Amino acid sequence: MKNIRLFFIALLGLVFASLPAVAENSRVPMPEITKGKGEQCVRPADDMRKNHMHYLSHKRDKTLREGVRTKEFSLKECIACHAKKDDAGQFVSITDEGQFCQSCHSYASVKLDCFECHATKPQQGSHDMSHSHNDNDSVLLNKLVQNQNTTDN
Amino acid sequence: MSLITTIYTVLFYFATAILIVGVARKIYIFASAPAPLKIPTTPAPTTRSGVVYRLLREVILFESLFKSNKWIWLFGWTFHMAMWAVLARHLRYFMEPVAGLITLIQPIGIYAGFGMLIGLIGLFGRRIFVERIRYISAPSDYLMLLLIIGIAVTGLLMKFVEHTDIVAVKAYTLGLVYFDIQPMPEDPILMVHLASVALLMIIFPISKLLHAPGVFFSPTRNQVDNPREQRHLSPWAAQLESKN
Ligand code: HEC
Ligand code: HEC
Ligand code: HEC
Repeated sequence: MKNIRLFFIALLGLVFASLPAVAENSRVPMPEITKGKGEQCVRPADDMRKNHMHYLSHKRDKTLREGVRTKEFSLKECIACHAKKDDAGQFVSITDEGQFCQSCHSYASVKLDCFECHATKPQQGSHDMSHSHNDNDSVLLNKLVQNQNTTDN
Repeated sequence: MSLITTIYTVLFYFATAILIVGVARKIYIFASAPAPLKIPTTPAPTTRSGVVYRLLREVILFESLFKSNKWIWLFGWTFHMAMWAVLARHLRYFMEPVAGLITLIQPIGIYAGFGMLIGLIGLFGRRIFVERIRYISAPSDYLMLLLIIGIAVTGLLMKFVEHTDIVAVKAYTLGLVYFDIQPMPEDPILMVHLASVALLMIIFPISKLLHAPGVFFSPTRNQVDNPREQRHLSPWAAQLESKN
């Protein structure tokens, strides 16, 4: 009986010792999450944290199967808001170490193949989708065909 | 720190302590239990390295089960191997940075989740539909399967239906490891998932799940078939003999 009581006291001690003294200087490693452009994301941040992969794959199916090309949940738009510029004012690839998508995915041990085809930086100079649309699409489609060819072989 | 985070934190430290101390104690008991008879199930290996090889086949391939019943083997083996893959996938919550191998197997772990569930449903069906198994099944046999089925289902739900905040979950588990508690996301499915896991950890050392370490101490599997070369005499029997 005495042993069991000791065990529980030790356990409680452990729990209290683990309470974070100051929330800011925590020992627990966290991903680097930089803030996107603008006030908010296309959905509330906590929803995006949980469900962005669903939105993206849903949007992809909509585009590829039904030809619906809207801005909402467009991968290009994510990059346009979430890509950062380096000191020289050049956009940094979103897949680089410490960048928005990469940092979080490396933390969660997720590997994406999206950027084998999709651009990892915003189209410099033209943020207006209607202008860059065609160029972007032909690049994407060329890569798609290339990929198809290599997988067929 | 919220009440729920506090409750789960106490629960997980408690469950981990019980699991480690409990299993270590049981292994000590198994290891010091006398094996009075030489009873390897023949044909048995005649050397120690042969026994190691036999035990490896037993725990990796489930050889005896395969020889005795093919369909039970299929479900049982599928469940156990898929569970290893799923456990390996979960290692991502306990390390930062994540090891390359663990990242590599992430997709396998997802499919393994379904493999686990299929295996478990098969084993549950066995308890219900096979007359002679139903006859010897106690409530705990069903409940144990249901508990693990519950863990698998809630896990798959979080992957495919109702996502949780994976980054926050990892911060919480790392917080447990670093003794620096972070808030746990309070999604109902996650809470059921984690509570079931903690319950499983707690009952592990007092349940039939002990067959995992137990198989290594099974005399019919771990003995060398050498009664002619070497007389089998357990220490307590030797004592009796020397008295006469
Ligand atoms: C093999 C090349 C390839 C890969 C890999 C790929 N895509 Fe695409 N994706 C395309 C092409 C081609 C289109 C069509 C563009 C169009 O017609 O507008 C497209 C369109 C999309 C769209 C709709 C267009 C937009 O931006 O709104 C989304 C969203 C999308 N992909 C997301 C993804 C995600 C997420 C991944 C990774 C899981 C991915 N893609 C991987 C080639 C690819
Ligand atoms: C209009 C600019 C904009 C677009 C477009 C956009 N985001 Fe965001 N995103 C933001 C801002 C700003 C935040 C921070 C919001 C906050 O903290 O409340 C954010 C937050 C997020 C978060 C949560 C990060 C955290 O705090 O943990 C994720 C995940 C995310 N975005 C993913 C995406 C994805 C995926 C897309 C494309 C489908 C996208 N975003 C498109 C601006 C944008
Ligand atoms: C707050 C952290 C976070 C940020 C920021 C983030 N992601 Fe994710 N992402 C995740 C997590 C966690 C998963 C899935 C984990 C799981 O289900 O195992 C994921 C999964 C995905 C997937 C599905 C991958 C697969 O193979 O299933 C896509 C596609 C994706 N993210 C795209 C993006 C893009 C594009 C961005 C940048 C605009 C981004 N994410 C930013 C955390 C994040």
